[in-house]
Amino acid sequence: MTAAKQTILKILAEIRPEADYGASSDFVADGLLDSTDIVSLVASLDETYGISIAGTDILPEHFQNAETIATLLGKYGVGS
Amino acid sequence: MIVNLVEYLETTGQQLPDELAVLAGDRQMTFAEWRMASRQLGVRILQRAPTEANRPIAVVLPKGVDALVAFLGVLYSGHFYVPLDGSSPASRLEKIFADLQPMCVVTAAPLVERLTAAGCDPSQLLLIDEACAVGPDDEPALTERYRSTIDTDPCYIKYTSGSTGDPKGVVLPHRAVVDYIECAQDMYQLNQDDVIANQAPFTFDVSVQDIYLSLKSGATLLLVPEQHFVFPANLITLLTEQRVTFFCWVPSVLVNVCNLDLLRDVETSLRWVTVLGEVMPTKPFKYWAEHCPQATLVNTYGPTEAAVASTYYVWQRPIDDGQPIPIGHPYRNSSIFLLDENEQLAGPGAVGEICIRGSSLALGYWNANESTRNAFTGNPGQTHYPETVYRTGDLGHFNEFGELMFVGRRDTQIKHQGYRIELGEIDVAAAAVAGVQQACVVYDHQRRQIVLFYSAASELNAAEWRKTLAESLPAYMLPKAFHRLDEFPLSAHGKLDRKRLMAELDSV
Repeated sequence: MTAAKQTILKILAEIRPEADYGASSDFVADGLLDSTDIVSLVASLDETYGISIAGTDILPEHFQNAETIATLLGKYGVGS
Repeated sequence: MIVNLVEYLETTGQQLPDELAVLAGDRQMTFAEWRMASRQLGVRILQRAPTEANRPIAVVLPKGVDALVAFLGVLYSGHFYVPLDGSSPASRLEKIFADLQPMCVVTAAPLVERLTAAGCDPSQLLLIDEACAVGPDDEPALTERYRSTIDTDPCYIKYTSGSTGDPKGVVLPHRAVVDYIECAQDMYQLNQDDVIANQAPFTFDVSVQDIYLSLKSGATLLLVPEQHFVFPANLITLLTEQRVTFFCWVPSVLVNVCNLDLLRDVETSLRWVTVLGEVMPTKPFKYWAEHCPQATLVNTYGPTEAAVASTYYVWQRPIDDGQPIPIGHPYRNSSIFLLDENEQLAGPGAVGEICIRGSSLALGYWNANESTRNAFTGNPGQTHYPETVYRTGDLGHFNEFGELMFVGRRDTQIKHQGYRIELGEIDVAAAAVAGVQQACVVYDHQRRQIVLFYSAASELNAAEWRKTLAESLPAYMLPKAFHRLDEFPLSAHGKLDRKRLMAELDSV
């Protein structure tokens, strides 16, 4: 597992510790994350990596799972 | 003069038959189609129970065209509808069904198993998409039935969180909703060129405004997919693509859009930006005002116990970021006064409990006479004839402009993500968990989350707590943080001291 994905899963576990992220390929569709969780996730990613994810990038396809979130982070220069 | 809500669909369905009434994902419906489908459902209900009238009928359907058909279909049949969330825990649905004793339940095939698990008799279920044979006598019987509905008959029940652990049903009469919709339409002046973007679940009374303003005015009702509120960039795209002109949303949506700066370089078609359901922070409201200069912004306020909204404030003068936005003045169907702790009218500028009088009031709570008597009391200022007022439990004061300002709650009710929650309902559910000795929730306003304090012989982890509580509470009521205490702080009277628990939040 890449370092970025590990960090993402760690942040997600802090937001919703009871969710089984490994068993899901779409966190929002599967009910693991809601709107406030996405807000918390983006804030944590911004703080962890010193970036500022644009509101226009907060789209379903970028937040489906750890893989897609890591790909989004790559757009902001965060290495995998 | 409009007497009951069916008349809106009867009128608009015949005057604007081909106008688009509802747009919901890949489904849409004209006003004529809505009228026809609802009348057919009304006939089915009449055929089921030809001599009964004025009974509650539960509607358990996802937000969409079918639910809207069902609401009006129930009204056509001379009964009143009770929208329920099919994703609620089975035990919560069971409590509501036991309280409500519905005449029948309008639903869809995928929900049958869940409803029978919640105690519904299969013979009570009426599937929305089943065909109906309409005979020559059915239409006149239906017309006679809905025309006999008077304005004080119930039109719907909305279930809200109950402090004792059981949800309570607020019963609204046709008169309250009709009077509010007439006030709202006088203000907003919508027509068939308008598009109303609905956000509120159908279990919230904000949705009542969306539905009946559409029926009154001929505006299109756009049901915004729930996921767009999780990913608001798509929400703004939809807003512009569908040329939305009016919405009434919970403030946290506007806050989110502001924080993400999603209106930058966007031109909307909005004529009205209105909010209801929570305190609206000033800075995001100003952001929307700056980015939608052609729109009028309105902050509204009102409990479920009075149809939709009771007061409004039209954004006019500059307000500093740190200053609250007024909740303004009552609509013409309501009157507001403030009672101090001595049950007297609060003095000028003094804080008092917001009390509402007027035609917007609910009839009371379903099957809860004592709660109804406590909340819907006589007007202490009126001794010459009996007058009912609703005591909101909200505190407010009038500012120097005579505008009502919201101050806070008198008790432990909170608003979280727009949902009204009695913390006591969560306390009861948590205390019932095996091994728990005592439980108390508080609301962390800073982090905007529900926090549970508990004492137990052994620690339960967050995952276990949420999984267990999800069996009896809806998702929006589940605490986010859990803290085990050796002992609970008590007040001088020996009662659990919630304020000291709030202070504990800073140390955990």
